[in-house]
Amino acid sequence: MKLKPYHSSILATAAALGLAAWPLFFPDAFLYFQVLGMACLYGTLALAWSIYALSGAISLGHAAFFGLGAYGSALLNHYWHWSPFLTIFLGSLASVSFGLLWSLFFRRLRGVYLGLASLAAVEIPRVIIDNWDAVTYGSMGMTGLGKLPTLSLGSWQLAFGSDLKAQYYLLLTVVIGATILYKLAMGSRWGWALRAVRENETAATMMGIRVNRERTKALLCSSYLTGVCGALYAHILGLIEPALVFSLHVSALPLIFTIFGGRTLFFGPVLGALLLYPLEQLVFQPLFPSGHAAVYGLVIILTILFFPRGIAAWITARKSA
Amino acid sequence: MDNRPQICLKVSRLSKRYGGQQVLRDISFSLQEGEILGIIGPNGAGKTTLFNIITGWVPPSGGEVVFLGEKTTDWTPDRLCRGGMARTFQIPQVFPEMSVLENVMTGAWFGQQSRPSAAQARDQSRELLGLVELAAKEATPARELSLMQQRLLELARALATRPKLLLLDEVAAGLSLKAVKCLSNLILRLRTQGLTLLLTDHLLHLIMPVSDRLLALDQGEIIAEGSPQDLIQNPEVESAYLGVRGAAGEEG
Amino acid sequence: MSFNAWPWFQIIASGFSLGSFYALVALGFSLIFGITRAFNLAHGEMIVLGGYLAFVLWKFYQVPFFLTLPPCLLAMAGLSLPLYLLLRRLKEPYALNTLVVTFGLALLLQNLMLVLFSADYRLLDSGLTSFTIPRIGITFSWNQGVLLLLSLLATAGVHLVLHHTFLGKALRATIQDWEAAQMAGINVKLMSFIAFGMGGMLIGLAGPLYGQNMYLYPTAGTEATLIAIIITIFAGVGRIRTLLLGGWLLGLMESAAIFTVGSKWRELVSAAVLVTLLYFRPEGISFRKPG
Ligand SMILES: Nc1ncnc2c1ncn2[C@@H]1O[C@H](COP(=O)(O)OP(=O)(O)OP(=O)(O)O)[C@@H](O)[C@H]1O
Ligand SMILES: [Mg+2]
Repeated sequence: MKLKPYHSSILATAAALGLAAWPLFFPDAFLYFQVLGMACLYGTLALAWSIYALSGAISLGHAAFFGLGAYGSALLNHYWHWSPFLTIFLGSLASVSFGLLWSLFFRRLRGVYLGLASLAAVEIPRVIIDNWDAVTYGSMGMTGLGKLPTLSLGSWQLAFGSDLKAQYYLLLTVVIGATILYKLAMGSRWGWALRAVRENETAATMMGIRVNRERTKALLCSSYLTGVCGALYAHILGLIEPALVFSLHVSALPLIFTIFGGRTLFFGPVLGALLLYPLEQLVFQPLFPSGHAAVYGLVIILTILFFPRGIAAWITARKSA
Repeated sequence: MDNRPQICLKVSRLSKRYGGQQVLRDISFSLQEGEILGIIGPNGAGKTTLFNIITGWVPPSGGEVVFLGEKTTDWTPDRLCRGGMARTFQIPQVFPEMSVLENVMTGAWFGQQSRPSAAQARDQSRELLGLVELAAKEATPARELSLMQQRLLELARALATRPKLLLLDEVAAGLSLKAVKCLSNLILRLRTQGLTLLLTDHLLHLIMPVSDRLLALDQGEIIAEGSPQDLIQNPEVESAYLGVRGAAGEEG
Repeated sequence: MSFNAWPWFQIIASGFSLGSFYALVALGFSLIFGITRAFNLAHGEMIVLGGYLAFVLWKFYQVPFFLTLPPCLLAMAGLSLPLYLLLRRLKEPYALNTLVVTFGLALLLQNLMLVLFSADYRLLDSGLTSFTIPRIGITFSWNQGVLLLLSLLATAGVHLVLHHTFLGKALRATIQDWEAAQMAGINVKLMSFIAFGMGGMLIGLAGPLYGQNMYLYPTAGTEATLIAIIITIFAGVGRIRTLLLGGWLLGLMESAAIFTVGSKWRELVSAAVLVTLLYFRPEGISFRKPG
């Protein structure tokens, strides 16, 4: 059966309403607030990764953007004591700068080699931050970062930093907002251009599409949103260290969620995150206290084995005449 | 304005070398608005390379290209497209997962100088699909089309960019005689709407009846130029053709 | 200090032994890639796993270092074969699919090693000492010597197999042109099988050597994978002498970095080299005629 476009919108809206409504019935399910909140964060991360993937690029190095956003925000907060609400948006500009360098250096890379280059790209900010002790505290990382602040609306207090339910609603809002933007982008003229670039770069160029510019735009949007996710992550945890944010794990998650969730649906990446992250945290974590993330590796292998077209549609052929 | 025909494309002293191989040597010709120029030549003569240079895919080693009065030698292909130059490829380049209609819409939406609305783009695309007789396949994904249909689709998509100059690289290859006939009618009709065309083909059944003028290319050089009837009787052209046919046969 | 008086010699000595080892690291990767076109991003993780295996044998069963080599060789070859069966089932786009699947495998192995061996840093002590050449005061460790010797031996061994046996001829033909080889009657599936077997054995050799010279920890593999990729891109596939040259160049660069700006910046070298290499050669690995 084929889903009609409005079917998937209805489905997504229903899911969003469900996610917003269930805490009304279980006001004390703190573990679930926490886990689903993080799942929303990772859903946003997966969407961010997918924006770049829309242009036909498989990145294995989004941890670079995640980590730079996290460190950008953490450093601003640590040295200037700005509110996390401000530093999250400003600090993520570090990711965008790295995105600019990325698009400059990797301009001519496609497919597998772009993946390999992105794998190496993570190491560069990681090693620098790891060793720049004077500013970043090196591999020790930083603790005591400002938690997300409290928002007062009249008598209504939203303590995003300490109240897990408020935090859940914040992250849910973020992921819903990101999903709507993602859907709008996919349906826009720009989204069409990206699709053309993804399917056949030669033909897209021939149709007057500025391939590099469109792809760079996608990367910059993607890197910014990824940076925001990293920054949120740092302030939710209140601590940060290089090995935590610049890890293979962080690079792999959005890829896994997107491939698992399905790329044809606009909410596929979020779906993947909402299904897999709670599974990992609630089922595998208790079974294997360390190393439970192994399940992600397994999921990606099985998905590609049994859904062979899983990533095929992301591919762009090399420019040729 | 005077109604003398304007120069649409002027190529002067174009050359290209790949490593030690001189693929094009001192190619000069010009094309008037509304003219149809055919380029013939055996395999490896450099026809595709010439197209690639004119359309900005490959930088020339020397010489220049002037399109509609502007020097476009270092323009990118996408800029040339928006400036009114379209082409098709010897191996059709379609968007495999898009439907046939969406393929053509892409051309209409991104390739024109003015930016049409999505609805306008759709209407224009439907019209063009009718022209190449693919209207019935509108919703089929392009990857499911036969090679021949993909060629026609590519043609429709190129036309959707509203080009002033259209370069067709071996559109007729693999088409049946009947299809070639339809195609030549289409080409002549497009010309009456003011389109200028540059065609290549190494089997002559499309190029002969439609071209105003032919250019024979062999080993990167223009060896003859003239009306189709004159050229076909030129002994040099004949020997270039026979030499290659005898040795390597025709391209499939 | 004698150390400072002779940094060049020190850089070159450790560069060569490290570089030879890097060539060994790349050898398995490039053999597998050359013959099956599969990118194995879990290559480094498999090496680290081999290292852990040797570590366990040495630490808990008191097996001397050199005797850990044969079981590691066998174990890693044994592990490569299921990987071969797994990767064989992937569809087009093959290279990209192998990339993503082995990326997942790398994640899987990292976490398994975390469970089995914890995140602590481990070093295999082979009991070999270092010695100082008396008059000029250069220190040279036997570990480095063993590293150099075994790496070169293995590389030479693969070279011999490729260039002086019938099997090698078939393997080289497969590297050059898969389809032509098939048409010439070479059993390409068997060749792929052999490539994974040989690749696994090379991984199994590299593992204990890694554990003896560098610290083992679950996420250490990424760097080894990057090194294998760098050298393979540098050399193209099936060219063992160029592979060795690439290993030496990288080894020298790293040891120069260690001696000039400090060992903590060493890891930056491989990443920067890979990015630079790809910047200048965006088409990636070339399939030139094996030399
Ligand atoms: N990228 C390239 N690198 C090296 N040589 C090339 C390249 N592209 C084309 N050539 C060479 O240039 C010559 C002309 O090729 P071209 O494709 O232009 O010929 P053609 O006239 O279009 O032939 P055909 O009728 O087969 O399409 C050929 O000898 C070809 O080998
Ligand atoms: Mg051609």
